[in-house]
Amino acid sequence: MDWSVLRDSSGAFGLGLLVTLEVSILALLLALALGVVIATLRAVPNRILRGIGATYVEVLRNIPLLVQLFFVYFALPSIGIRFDAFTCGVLALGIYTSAFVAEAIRSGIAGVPKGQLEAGLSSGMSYATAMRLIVLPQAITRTIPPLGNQALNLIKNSSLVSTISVLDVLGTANLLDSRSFQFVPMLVGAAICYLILTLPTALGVNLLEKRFAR
Amino acid sequence: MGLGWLFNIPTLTFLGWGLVTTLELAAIAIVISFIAGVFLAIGRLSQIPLVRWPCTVYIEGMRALPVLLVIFFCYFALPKLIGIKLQPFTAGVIAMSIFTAALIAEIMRAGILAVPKGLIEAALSQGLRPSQVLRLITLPIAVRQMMPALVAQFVTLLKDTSLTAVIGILELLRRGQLVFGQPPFQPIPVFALIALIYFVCNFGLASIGRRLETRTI
Repeated sequence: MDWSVLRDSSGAFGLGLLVTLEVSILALLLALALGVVIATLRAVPNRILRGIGATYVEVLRNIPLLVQLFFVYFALPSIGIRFDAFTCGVLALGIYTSAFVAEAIRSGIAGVPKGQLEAGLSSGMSYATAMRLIVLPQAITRTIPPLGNQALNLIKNSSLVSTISVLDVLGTANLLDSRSFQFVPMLVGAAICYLILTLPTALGVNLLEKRFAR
Repeated sequence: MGLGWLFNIPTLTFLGWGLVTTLELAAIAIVISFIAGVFLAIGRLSQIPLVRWPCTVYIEGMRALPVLLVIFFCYFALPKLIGIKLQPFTAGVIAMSIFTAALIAEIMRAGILAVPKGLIEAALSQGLRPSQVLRLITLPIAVRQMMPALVAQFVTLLKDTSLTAVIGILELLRRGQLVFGQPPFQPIPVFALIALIYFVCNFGLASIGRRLETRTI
């Protein structure tokens, strides 16, 4: 076992760390945007829209992320839809996570007393306005801790993009492995990179949980 | 577009064995991770620092790592450390078990802490030894209360078994890849089929979890 390879490849790991961060942040933004839309769909009075929202969440939550990622990367090109590996990773991660984000927000909305929405409606607001100005802002504070957990899961799940040749932290470790055969130091190096990202995030989530705990 | 190339007995049997491997892997990992998780939870709640600290570090460290990294570690690095070559399936079982054990431990810890103190004191005052109280009172109540969370964790485990495709275990996803790698090279129907199989398994397991959730103890 040769631990010096770790020092020699710290630059490569640094770049991998940036790619992991980049994928995670872009996917998180996509997941939040989609998640808010789906959560709203699940809260509206229209039964068909609610059904669409519920189906979206259940389908995405119950199919493994790797299946979805491979679908975007390997299957979509067969019908002429082609993205580069990085974009595939962001899309698959973002869409998968959006289902969990939607569930977190939905339980947040469900936690806002019904009277709040009714008060908004009775003072002449449209459903959309009452939702946007009264219910969603209150729901957001309730959903911040579970959303933090989803962000944490997202960082860890982003490692799957290494299977479609994106050079994130794990992808970098695998590439260096295949050259040096120093599996132990390389994977330990990758683990340290992930701990650098996930431990502070987990600490932040814990603080938020305490702060928003009722 | 005919789908005879997919819906024929040999191909479906080939995929069916993949499902068997997936379920086998998940079932073994569920049993091992549950037992290990219970011990880790008890260890983390121990009064003895020499027991508590290693358990805490293990649980928090494992929870901070991606499961795919743990799978690669068990397949590529662990054999170098212990000097024994591991079959992909064995490495997969070890990886899924040691990873999920940390998550089960956190669920069980919450469950144990939620058991009313009066119940434990009542049992102790009846003359039961602490180990008996743990085995007969605390753990059964904790498991029942935490059943929904445990089932949700097992659904995650079942989904994560698909990651072992990348170390060459011939489970459902890997076999699906092999099928669409053959003529007529049409991945979409194959993905639709294996996604449906995963969906039915996970949704079924999750539904059982929800049923248990509504049952009061």
